[in-house]
Amino acid sequence: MTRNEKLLKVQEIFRDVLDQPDLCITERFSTTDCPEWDSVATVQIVLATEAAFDIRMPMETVAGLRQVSELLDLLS
Amino acid sequence: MLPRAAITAIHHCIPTRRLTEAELEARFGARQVQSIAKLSGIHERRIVEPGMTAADLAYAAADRLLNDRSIPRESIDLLVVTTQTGDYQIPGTAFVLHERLGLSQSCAVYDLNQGCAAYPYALALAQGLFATGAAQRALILNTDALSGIIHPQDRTLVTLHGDGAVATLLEVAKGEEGLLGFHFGTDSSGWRYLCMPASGARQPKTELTRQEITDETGNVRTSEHFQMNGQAIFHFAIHKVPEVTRSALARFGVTVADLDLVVLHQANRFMIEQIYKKLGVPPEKQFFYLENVGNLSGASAPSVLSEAVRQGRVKPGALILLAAFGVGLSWGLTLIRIGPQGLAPVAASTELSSSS
Repeated sequence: MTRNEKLLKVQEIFRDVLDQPDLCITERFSTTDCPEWDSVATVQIVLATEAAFDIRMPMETVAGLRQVSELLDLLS
Repeated sequence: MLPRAAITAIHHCIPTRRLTEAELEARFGARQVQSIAKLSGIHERRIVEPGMTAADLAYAAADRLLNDRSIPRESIDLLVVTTQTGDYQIPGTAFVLHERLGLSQSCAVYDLNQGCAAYPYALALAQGLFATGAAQRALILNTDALSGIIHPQDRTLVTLHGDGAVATLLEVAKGEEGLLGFHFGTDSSGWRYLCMPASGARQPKTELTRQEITDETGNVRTSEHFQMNGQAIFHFAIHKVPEVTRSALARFGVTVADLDLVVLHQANRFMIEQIYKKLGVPPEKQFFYLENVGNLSGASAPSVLSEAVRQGRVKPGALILLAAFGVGLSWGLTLIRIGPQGLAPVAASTELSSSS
């Protein structure tokens, strides 16, 4: 799966968690771009991403997660 | 066989002051509060009034328990107090409570600086002293009033936490009942994720530590307030707790099918449901006590047990697994067998008002 394909898969998760069906995200999409992306949403995004890609993220990455690119780096 | 401790009475105490959803919506906005409540399952918290402390709650819980069971104060030979919100830096809160409760000079006193995992740690400490013969009747007091160390504009903490205390009486087991096993662990790589930075010698309080900082989502705090990285803690709990619970069950030689009740620290409802699901705990072995009180920190896990007793969910001879986790980051699990007589609820109020 290419990085862009992973981005599209992650985008589906963001749309679902943030309840924004038309949301388009880039790698630079971050918490500052979206007030709905709070710590509660982060928890849901992380759990959904872990389930979708069958991975377990390091706690320190989860602790500092603010931008989509940080998620994608873990999926490569 | 070495003497073993058994739980023979338990009672909890929460403040009468309610912090409601309406109050929080006025403070933080309805959308934010509802979003958190949807995940946490917490809709009301009990918090202390100004002037009331965690020690007051612990005193009330203990005093009512001892009176209800007509326990002579001089017969208590061990007092363990766990709290993160003691009355003083020096001395430990256990000394203050020892005096207030009128315990004897032959009573050993311990303070345990532990957070949400406090209960199994305190029970294990007592169990060790029972095994040596140094203690035969112990009072364990788990109490926290985090509302006083949380910034009122920090919605990630204000919305979740309540204040409370639990008193547990331990006596020498006469039969198969008692504290049957313990399992502990620590991942100290995460201690910063639950921390009150300017609260000790490492970072003395200054003008700078009193400065308010607003994060990108609008939470306000200073270095003198308790801080939590909620996403890290949630991630830790949801993965680590099922893992260590499986290890504990293997160590104890039991399965979920053998258990009558699985008690978990009540951090938030979604987390607890996920942990129950991962462990395959059926609904009849689950218990929740957070919706109207909040996360009671070190008093949380024992308050679940206490409330389960009050609701008749703890039968004579019941086998209970209790798992608690939090600050450190730490976890502790214990396997408890209730005696054949069961645990009668303490016939006293579970509330304390500032006029009491």
